[in-house]
Amino acid sequence: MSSDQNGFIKRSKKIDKDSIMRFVLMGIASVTVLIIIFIILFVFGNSIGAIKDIGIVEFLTGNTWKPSSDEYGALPLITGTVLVTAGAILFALPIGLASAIFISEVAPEKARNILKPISEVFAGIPSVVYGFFGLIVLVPFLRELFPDQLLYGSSWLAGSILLGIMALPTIISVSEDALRSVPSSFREASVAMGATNWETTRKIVVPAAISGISAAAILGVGRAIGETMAVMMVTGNSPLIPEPLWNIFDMVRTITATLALEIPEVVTGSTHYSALFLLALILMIMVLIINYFAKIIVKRTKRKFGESVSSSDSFISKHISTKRISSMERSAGLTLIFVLSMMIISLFTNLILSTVISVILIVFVLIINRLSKKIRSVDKQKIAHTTLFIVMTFVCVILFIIIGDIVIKGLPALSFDFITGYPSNEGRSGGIYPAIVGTVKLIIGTLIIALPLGITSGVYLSEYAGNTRLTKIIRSAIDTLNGTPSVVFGLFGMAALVIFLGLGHSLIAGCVTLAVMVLPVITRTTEEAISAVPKDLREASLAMGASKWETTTKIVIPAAFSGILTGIILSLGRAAGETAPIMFTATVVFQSSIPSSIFDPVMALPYHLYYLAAEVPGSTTNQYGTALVLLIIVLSMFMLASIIRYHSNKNIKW
Amino acid sequence: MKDNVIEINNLNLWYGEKQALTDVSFPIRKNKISALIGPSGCGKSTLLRSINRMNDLIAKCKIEGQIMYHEQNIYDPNVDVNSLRKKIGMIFQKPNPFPMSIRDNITYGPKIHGITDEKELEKIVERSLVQAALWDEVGDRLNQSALALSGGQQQRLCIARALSVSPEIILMDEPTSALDPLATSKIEDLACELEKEYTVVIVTHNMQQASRISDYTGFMYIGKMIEFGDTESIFNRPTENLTERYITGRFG
Amino acid sequence: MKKFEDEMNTLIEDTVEMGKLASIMIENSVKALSEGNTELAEDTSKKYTRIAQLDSLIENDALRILMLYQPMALDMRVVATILKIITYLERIGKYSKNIAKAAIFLSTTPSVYSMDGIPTMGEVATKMVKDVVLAFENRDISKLHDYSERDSFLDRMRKEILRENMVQIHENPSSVDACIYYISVSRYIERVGDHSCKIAEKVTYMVTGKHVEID
Repeated sequence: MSSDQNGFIKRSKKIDKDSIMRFVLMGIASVTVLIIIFIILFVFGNSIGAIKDIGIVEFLTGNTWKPSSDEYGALPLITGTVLVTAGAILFALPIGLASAIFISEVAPEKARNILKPISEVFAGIPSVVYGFFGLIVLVPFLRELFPDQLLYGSSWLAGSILLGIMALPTIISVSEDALRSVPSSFREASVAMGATNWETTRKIVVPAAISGISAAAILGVGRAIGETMAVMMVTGNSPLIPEPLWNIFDMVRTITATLALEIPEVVTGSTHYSALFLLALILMIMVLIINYFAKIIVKRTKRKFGESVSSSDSFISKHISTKRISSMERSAGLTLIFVLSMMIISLFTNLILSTVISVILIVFVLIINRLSKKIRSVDKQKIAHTTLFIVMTFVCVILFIIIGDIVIKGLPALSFDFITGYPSNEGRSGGIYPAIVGTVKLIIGTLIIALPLGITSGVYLSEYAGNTRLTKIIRSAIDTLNGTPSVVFGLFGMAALVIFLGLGHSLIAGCVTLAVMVLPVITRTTEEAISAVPKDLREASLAMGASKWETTTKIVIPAAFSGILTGIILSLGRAAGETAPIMFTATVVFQSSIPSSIFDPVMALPYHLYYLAAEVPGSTTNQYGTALVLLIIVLSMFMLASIIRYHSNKNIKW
Repeated sequence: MKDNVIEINNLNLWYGEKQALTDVSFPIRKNKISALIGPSGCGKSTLLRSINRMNDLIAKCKIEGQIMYHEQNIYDPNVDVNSLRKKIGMIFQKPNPFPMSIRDNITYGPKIHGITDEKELEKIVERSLVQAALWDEVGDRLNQSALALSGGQQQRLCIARALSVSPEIILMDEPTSALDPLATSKIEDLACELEKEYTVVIVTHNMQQASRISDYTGFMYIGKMIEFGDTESIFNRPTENLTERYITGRFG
Repeated sequence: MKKFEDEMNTLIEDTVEMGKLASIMIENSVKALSEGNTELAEDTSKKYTRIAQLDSLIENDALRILMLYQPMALDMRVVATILKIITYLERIGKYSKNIAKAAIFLSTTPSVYSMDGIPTMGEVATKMVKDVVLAFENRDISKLHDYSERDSFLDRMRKEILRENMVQIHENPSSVDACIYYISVSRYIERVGDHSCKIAEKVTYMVTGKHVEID
């Protein structure tokens, strides 16, 4: 059977372990894929009724959304989503880009090491906390600022500002990565020609990173579209198209808010029910389109920088010469400024005055343009850097205001009784112990379900799956679900688990819903962490006679461990802070004792915060206390992930 | 011939549609250093990786012909490729130690192949590091991370790691291209030491390296073995015009 | 590195052997001539085979080293020097053989007159060869500074011997055979001196990297 001296004849009885493991992994990964496909089909299936009853065209173009009178015109909702998102990006993109430029190109090393984590902390704040802050601080502030335009404060403007703040970390982080990945040889070549740092940044680095920055913008859009809780709390939720269209002071309602508001009351199987699913479907399609564009752009970036250094020379010579803006571009730009200023100013005053002011603005812009040519490059750089610094400070100030407000007003509420007691007087007094316990249970339950599935699928996708069409489809499905708004998961969870399977509002329904929500994230981050392990480690192991399974378990996974762990902790942090998925599947507003069975509902911190803020006047102290506790839990998880990542980056230098 | 530990017969290899090796035949002699030289893309690395079947990892790779090792074609379906790779070790261009301690790097291979006794593993660690001329430098800090070593030391660690499973043949794929001249010199001396006990095949883009250390040299060009012979003849009076032009620097 | 160093050491050792052989040959051939020792002459003559052999061997090895190792700096100068000096050493060996052959012939003819000049020349030439071989072996050129003078001495001696022998031939025509041999031998010894100078030039280049001329 085997020769002693050579020993490399296969024994026919020895079964190939690699093939078995491949099969097992494929099986487990398939479960993940099946879940994902199931969800997509479920949403689609349930929306067919609406398509048949209402008609797609009528649905998309109808002006009135009034389910009680059987009117399902979704145009105001779609418009609301688009307007709020557009406003948010308009706010977040320039500020985010400026901050990213500051962090990447201007800030000294030490400052960078502080600023980057700060912007990541932003990302960790749960949306319900943002919504809370928006409701309690932002809306009254706007009401003070524009007393004539804003009666109540809740508005498109409030929504866009809040959403913009929430999209900032995504935009800053992705843009900064894009800027950093511009090869330093580009910068060096430019500076060697005598350009200042600012000129290099403006003319070389930013254009070179434009693909990544576009991806950042698009990802920010994706984040904004899917936001539920925050917009629900500050936009006023009136399903009407603003009059005129650019009236930022009008109240609007987004698709996500519609879902969150109407799901609890809807009758299963009714047209209304189906219409909600159709809304969810439209939302998912929007996300799909956005992801698609982002992916194309990312691919283009990779291709561009794969080219040799010689191409950088042609790139630089093209860009560094003083580009004359063509006269056509100039007039287009001026027209745009004029129109925008007309739109905004006319909200405040009459038509004639707006025109006058807009014209003055145009003249002002032209004068600045003329003057700027006279300023020396060195001074221009000083002005530019100062501006960037101011923007960055502004961003930091916002963060500190938000966190500071919650900490300052929340600390007084914290006491031993608060942490360990039960709520009383509808939550105005007493403690939040059951909510804390409920959140912890949800986290653990999610972990138990999502972890094995997600990691196995990630390992399978990166190590064992080929590059077939099927794999590409699977990855698209995972990415789609990755970007899907959490409220859609809530909808799915309610319909499939609570109602269809009859689990009722229960811990198990909430855990499954949350697990399904984080499953794509864990799968993806595991896959990426494993792919990041350099190929030559695998080769070294295989070249010594290790099998693929041994290589995967003994070399690859340990090397990717910190990446995988970070992904898990981040997902759990997100799960802890999410409201929409658990709102319809697991939570109740009050419990007097800790439930013993997983089929019982639970209280949870995010939902408790929302409930107090939206429904219980006079509970401000406890609102802040709840917000603070939630913030502490979620932010410590994010910080833990950061520490692990930092620690491992120090040790492992590929 | 009894001196030939490997015989390559009419080896043809395709990556998908593209033929990367055409009709390659030559012997590898026991306890000698055989070098493969040639311009970039000539197929020398591909040829080397065929010897320990690392090309199996590439999906669209097709092979025709034979590589005879111990009178057995290694591409025969009966062959257990993991055992094959135990006998034929490989050193790569960029040093690739595992992100573990020095000791764990070297015990990885023996453990995979079933050795569990602690004492025996310690002996293997020492023996391998001695043979790789690294023991003097790291023998007192085996628990340190392998990544803390310099490039040259890391490469010698990779050699020690390959030696830990007692191979017969050591394949080296441009082992010094990522190293400075001093580290390169140490690895070259090491190779000359190793050929006493092992058989070495080295791919190098630096033909002076081949002339310095090898006993036999093969010149490859666009997937073909143009000429193979003892090193002195190849560098003194090559029979093929193409070889002469390459060696005198007229191209490549 | 080690492979290269081993081969270099072998090359140098062989060259030193060749050099010592050459100095023995010139010493013994002149001795055989002045003592009329035909045995020594035969023995010396045979040594030429070895020198010719070494010439080929060292040349081969030196070319091999150049080809395989592309030596630099001192290593390169050593190899280049060796390639040149083995030529001169072989010539010295050839002349020594010729002197030995002359010794055999002259032993059969009666001595014409006392030939002090030739043994003296032989001593000087032998010392020149020995010193230069030592200089090569030890890489020490301190003894090479007066080669010009020594060579001039040999030159003067040769002219003296020529004049004496021409007188001899006029006075005693029957001694013409022997005299011609004596003239030849003196020429050979003078050539040995010349070649030693050339070797000294090359060794100086090897040690200092600078080219010198020794007239």
